[in-house]
Amino acid sequence: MNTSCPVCGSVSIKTTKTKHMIPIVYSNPAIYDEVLETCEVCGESGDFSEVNDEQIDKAILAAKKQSVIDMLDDLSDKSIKMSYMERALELPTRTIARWKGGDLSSSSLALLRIIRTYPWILEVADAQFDESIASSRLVQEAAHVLEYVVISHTRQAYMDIVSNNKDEIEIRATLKLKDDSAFDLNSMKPRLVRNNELVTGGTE
Amino acid sequence: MDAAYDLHELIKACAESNQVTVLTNAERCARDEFRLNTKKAVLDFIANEGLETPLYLNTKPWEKNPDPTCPIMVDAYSFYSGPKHGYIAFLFSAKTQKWIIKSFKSNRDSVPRNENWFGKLSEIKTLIQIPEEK
Repeated sequence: MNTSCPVCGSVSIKTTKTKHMIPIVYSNPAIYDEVLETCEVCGESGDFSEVNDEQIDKAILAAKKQSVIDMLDDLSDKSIKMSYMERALELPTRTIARWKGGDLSSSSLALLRIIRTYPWILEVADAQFDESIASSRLVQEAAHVLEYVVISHTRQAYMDIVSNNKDEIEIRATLKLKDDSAFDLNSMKPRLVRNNELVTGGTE
Repeated sequence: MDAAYDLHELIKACAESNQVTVLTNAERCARDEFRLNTKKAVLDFIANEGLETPLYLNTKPWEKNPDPTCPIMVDAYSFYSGPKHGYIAFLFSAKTQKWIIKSFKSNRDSVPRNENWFGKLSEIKTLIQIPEEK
C-alpha cells in the first residue's frame, strides 16, 4: 500500500532514515533509526507510515533496563544494599533483584530514580515517613548542598560566634570567593547574599 | 477571528486510532520539551486531559497549503502541564479526514503558572480606579 500525505493527500512521498538519540535518565541514550517521510507536494513531514513508535519503544525499554543496572550499581557503590532498600520500602524480598533482571514497571523505575537522586529518602522510609525525621533529613541534605556550593566557590572561610545569649546565637561568616565566571548574577546556580546584596565571583 | 475547530473534537479524535497525525517538528519538540517520546504518548496525553487550562490564541491559514482554492486553517492554543506552559497548533484536513498536530512545544511567551499576573493587574486596576468607576 502506498503511503500518502495525511495533510494534503498526495502520494508523492520521499522517505529518509536517520539515527536518533533519546536521553535516558542515569544511563546511556536510547538510539534508534528514525523513518522520516516528507511530502513532495506540501513539504510537511512526519512518520506517515507509523513505524517509528515501535522502534522508539524498543530502544527506550532496552536503555531503561540498562539504567536500572547502572542505578543499582551506583547505589551499591554507596554501600546501599538491595536488602536494605527492600526492608525500608517494605518491598517483598528479591523485588529489586527482579528489577535488575529486567522485570520492571514504570513505577519501579520512577521509584528507583527517586532513590538514586535522593538516597537519604530510604532513611525517611525506614522511619516510616515520620514527619520530623523527614524534615530533619531534608535540612541536613540542604546543608550538604549549601556546604558544597560554599566550598566550591570559596578560597577562604572564617566563622565566628559573635554572641551567644541564652535564646539567640549570632554567627558571622566571612567568605573570600574564588574568581568564578560561572558563579555570577545571571547564573542559575545558587547565589550568596551579603548584607542583602548578592555577592558574586571574585568579591570578598 | 474565531477558532476554526472545536478543541474537544481533536481531544476526542486523539483517543481514536488512526485519526490524528503528529508532524515531525511537533513530535520532536514533544519529545525534547515534554518527554513525550512517541506519537502514541502525545495522543494519549491529549486524550487524557493533558492540556490543562487551554487558551485559544489565534487562527491562521496553513502556509504550506498547495491548493489555495481550498483554504485550510490552523488553530493555536496555549496550555499548561503542571508548571510547564505549552503551545499546540493543529488543523483538520477535509481531504484526508485527519487531524494534524503541526506544533506541540513550550510556549515561548510563557507566564509562569503560579505568577497570577492577571489577578495582580486586576487588583492594581481596582486600586487606581476612581470611586465612581468601581
